Amino acid sequence: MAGRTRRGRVSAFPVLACLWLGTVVWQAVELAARHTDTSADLGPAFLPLALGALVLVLLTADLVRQARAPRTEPPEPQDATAGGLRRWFEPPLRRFAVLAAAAAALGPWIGLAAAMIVLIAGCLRYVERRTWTQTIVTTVVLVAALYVVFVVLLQVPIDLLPAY
Amino acid sequence: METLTLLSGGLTAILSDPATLAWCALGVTIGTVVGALPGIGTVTTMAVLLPLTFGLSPVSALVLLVAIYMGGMFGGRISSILLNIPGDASSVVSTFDGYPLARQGRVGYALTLSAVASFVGGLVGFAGLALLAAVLAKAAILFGPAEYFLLVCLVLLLTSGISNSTRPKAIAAVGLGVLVSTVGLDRITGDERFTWGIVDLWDGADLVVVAIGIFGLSEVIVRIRDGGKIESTDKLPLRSLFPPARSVARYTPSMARGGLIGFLIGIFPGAGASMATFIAYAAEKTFGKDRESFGKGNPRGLAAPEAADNASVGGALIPTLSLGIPGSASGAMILGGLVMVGLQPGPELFTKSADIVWAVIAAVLVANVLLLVLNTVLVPFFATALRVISPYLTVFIASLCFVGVYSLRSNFFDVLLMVAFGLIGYLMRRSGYPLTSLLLGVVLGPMLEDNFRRALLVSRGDWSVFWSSPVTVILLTTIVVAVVALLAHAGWRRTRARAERTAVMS
Repeated sequence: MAGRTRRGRVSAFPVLACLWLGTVVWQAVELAARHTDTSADLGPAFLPLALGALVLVLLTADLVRQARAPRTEPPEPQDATAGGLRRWFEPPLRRFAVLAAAAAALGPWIGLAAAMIVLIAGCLRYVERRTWTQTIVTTVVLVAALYVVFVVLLQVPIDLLPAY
Repeated sequence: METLTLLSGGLTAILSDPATLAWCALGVTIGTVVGALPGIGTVTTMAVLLPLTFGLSPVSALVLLVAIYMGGMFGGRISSILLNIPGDASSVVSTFDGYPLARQGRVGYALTLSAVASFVGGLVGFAGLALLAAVLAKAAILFGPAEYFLLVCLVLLLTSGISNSTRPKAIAAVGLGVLVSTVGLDRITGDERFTWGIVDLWDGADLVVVAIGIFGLSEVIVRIRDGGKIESTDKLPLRSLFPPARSVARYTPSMARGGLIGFLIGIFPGAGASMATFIAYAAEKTFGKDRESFGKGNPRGLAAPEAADNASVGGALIPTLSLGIPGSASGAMILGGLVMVGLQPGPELFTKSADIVWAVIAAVLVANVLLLVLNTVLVPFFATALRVISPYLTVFIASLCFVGVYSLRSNFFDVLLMVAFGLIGYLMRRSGYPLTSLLLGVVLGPMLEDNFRRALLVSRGDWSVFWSSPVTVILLTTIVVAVVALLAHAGWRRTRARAERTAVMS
């Protein structure tokens, strides 16, 4: 099936960067208003404000260029739901992103050891579609190897269990 | 004479300590194996393995990092020659003549030749580093805040200008990196900046967290997208992997030329190993008598860029060690390693911690020798390891990223931040924004802002401080010339593209 040409589609990074930069510039303006130091110091807001504005202009120019340029895109899969997020992160990537974020977010409650098992086993089983046997064996070997390298050999002080 | 004494001290520090020597051997082995895996690259290897240095002594930690750096540079060529897939950007040129040599059944020859060329290049880089780093450090006394500010500006400008991506994207990435470095408490006034009230962000985003996220984790995401498999149907006969040590010395002049080019280009910030290899290849092809055979398996087309690749390491370490300004992402990793072991990179490093800095310089030589032995004896092993490790690499890198970042200060917020930077790194790759520019922005951001504000504080707000000394005049002139050259080049490219479009339409 041939790809189709469409206008108005932009890549995710400049959009997200513009949003973050918007908050940076806004906070820098507030910071500049609060800054009453009369010494020669330009203050904490000067560089973020000047650089933030410049980068914002560059990113906006890129977005405008992308929106105007016609691009040929590959045909979309039949079972795909519509929406911008799906275009930027295909299903396996979405699964990995959710797994990684979940393992990091749950870490304080379940501890590093369990978080690693969640990440490795989840990644092998649900992202790479390995068999259960491969998943279990690889997870055990990898977690053991990391323990030996970091804790036994390098003696890095790591809390493997939750703090409470 | 003094240089030789200091260097022998550095060599003794490595060779007399079996543990340091073992870490050096481990570093070159890991660097070679991981560097050989397509797409991973030296910077990613260093970023992912940076946490391995946490529990080590300063000398061992830095020797390990340099060893991984050198190993990664050596390893990048293996998959170029065996699979026609470059291990990293600087190994692309090695595919031009390396893979054709392998296809002719001369795999062992190609690998041995490139290993010897890398060794010769490494020696050139080491000699230049040992001779010039201390000299430049002494000259750094002429640098005050205004000079440092302009130097950082020049580095960032060159990094953006020479980047493969379009220049506005590279400049935007550098700017974003600098802005990321401003997150946290202001170092002069103590004001809170862009933290959203999160206490964990008061110290800002750690360089290691950013580096592991944008290089390590984003690499994992890319591998997941691509299915994480190396496509290769060609089976290599084991016999062809054993190196014939003869007839390699014939190409020593090409190696020396490539090494010199690589070292000189490596010194310039932003140029990097990739550009050095392309220029070395172009020089050999331009001045060679047998230019028709380039691209069809000419040994000189492999020897020169390989030498340039490894010589650039010595060049890149010069500004990193003597001025505290990394000219490349790998240099930034070494700089991160120096900071992690409690050292302040810069001119004072050569007086206050001379023993450590000379151990680092000596490590370039020791790692180089180890790599030559390793890469000529263990060629069959590397070819096999490449195929065995590859299927589990995605999950291996991901877990190493997690444990590495967590072990920084046992804080899961850092891990979450690393995941965020991993996703940002992936989106940047997709959108064509260079990761190296962002990382250099993060590394050099504090130096840029602090020196800018300090220069104005010292001069009581007098802006002429930026053009009142001979060094500032030279730097400012260089910046102006660089900007004009970059603009002229952009204009020339635009005119040429328009002319080509017109020609196609007519």
